[in-house]
Amino acid sequence: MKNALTDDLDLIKGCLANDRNSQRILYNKYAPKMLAVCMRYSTSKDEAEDVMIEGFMKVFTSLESFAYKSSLEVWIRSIMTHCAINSYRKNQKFRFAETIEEMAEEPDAQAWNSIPDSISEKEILLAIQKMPPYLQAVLNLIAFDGYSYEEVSQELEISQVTVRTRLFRAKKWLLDYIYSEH
Amino acid sequence: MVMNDLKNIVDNMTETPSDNCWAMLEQQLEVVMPNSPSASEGAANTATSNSATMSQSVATTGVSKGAVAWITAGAIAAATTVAGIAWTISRPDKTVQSKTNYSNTKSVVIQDSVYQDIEVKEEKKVVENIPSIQDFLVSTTSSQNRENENLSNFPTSVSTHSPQVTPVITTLPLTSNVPTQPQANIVSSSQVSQSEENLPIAQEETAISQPAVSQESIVASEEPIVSEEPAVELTIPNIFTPNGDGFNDQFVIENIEYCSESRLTIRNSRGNVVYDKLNYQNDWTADDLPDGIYYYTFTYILNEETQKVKGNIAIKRGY
Repeated sequence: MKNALTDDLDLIKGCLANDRNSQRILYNKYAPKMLAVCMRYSTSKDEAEDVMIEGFMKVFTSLESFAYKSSLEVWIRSIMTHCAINSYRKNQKFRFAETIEEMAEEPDAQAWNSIPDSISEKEILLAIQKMPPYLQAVLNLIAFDGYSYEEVSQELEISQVTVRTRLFRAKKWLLDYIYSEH
Repeated sequence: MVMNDLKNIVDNMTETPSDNCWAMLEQQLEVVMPNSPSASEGAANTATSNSATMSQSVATTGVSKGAVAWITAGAIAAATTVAGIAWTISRPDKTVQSKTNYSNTKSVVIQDSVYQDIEVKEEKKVVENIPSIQDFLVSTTSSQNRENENLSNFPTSVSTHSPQVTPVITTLPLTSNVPTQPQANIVSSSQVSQSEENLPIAQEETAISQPAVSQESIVASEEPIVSEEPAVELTIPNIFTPNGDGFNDQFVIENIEYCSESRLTIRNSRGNVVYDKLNYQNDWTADDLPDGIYYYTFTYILNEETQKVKGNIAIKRGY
């Protein structure tokens, strides 16, 4: 982690000086990972790329506020997550279209263990992308990006109970999808 | 596989971005934080060339040490050189003395002309008004001819650039044997140009700019309302399901955030108020109320118009 930080130092200096070349190198270095993050929060690659570009704009314009508390990658990743949530909020059109469903239950550990190891990254990503956005956001934030229930409830402006319910349902959805594909 | 494995897989995922992503990013960067190396280089170049020409001209005239010191002396030096000119006019035969004086004049002028190039015509007229200076300069050497050009810059650099420089006037009486009339013309003409031209222009400018600014501000303040939401409509549902499943758990009035003030009152079927809230925040979950039909009265101020909506709302927690 520390090495990565020192590697990034020169890049950061260049970017702070608004040097296009440094910015391009930084972009090339982190874009693939960040695009994967954005892909998780979106339904298509085009959409994800839009979010990623917006995210990198934020990275370059607010690089001064990078406090070196974490690695650059973690910092950029958090910016991407924020952009993705913003985009989710904008696209949230189905407030009243959500159908009434019965309470979801936590899928038991057995179900997770029985996921075949042969499943590829691509398939997982595809499954996440096909998930309904409101479940996708919650699953991403809590399961993959380490947000707490409280934080998610603030970010998405839903109650903590709702967060919990959606997380259960998202996991169930993912499992169901994976099973149906295999 | 457990959830953590899945997390690890997801964390290390990569996806190759499309080729045009960087181009788009670069475009946006160019707008937000433009990268214009040519402009800054140009500025640097002009700066260096300015200083270069200055030092060059100083060197070619071969100014004495005293003159170099006078460069920094600024307006005082300028004022005293007026006296110097006047003095040389009165005694044209002492050329050596006049030479040093002219070189002094030049050095001052160079410094002023770096940031000033005003009203050359007027100065030329002024110089013509003083035939003695003109004649004298023609008779001197070619290097002094060059200085002549610079000299023509001199009167304005004193009178207009620093209009409060009274030394010009005060030094004049000291050299009283000079033809004071043209000198007086210098001062008066520059004063006239200041009082007659500058002032009305300034007044006009303020008169024009004030309404322009206010118009701009009006346009700016209207923009968000007009362009973004041409017609904000509140959407009030007639049913919601506060059962904690994440769907329609609150009584949500869409676009309520556009209301500057609002009041929501909800009564049950017997007419008793069960909920009353100023500036409702879309957070009513109908706690401790049984399923059924309720009646709401929603008063709100939208676009500075007070309106009132009545309707019924069903609470339904299960099938």
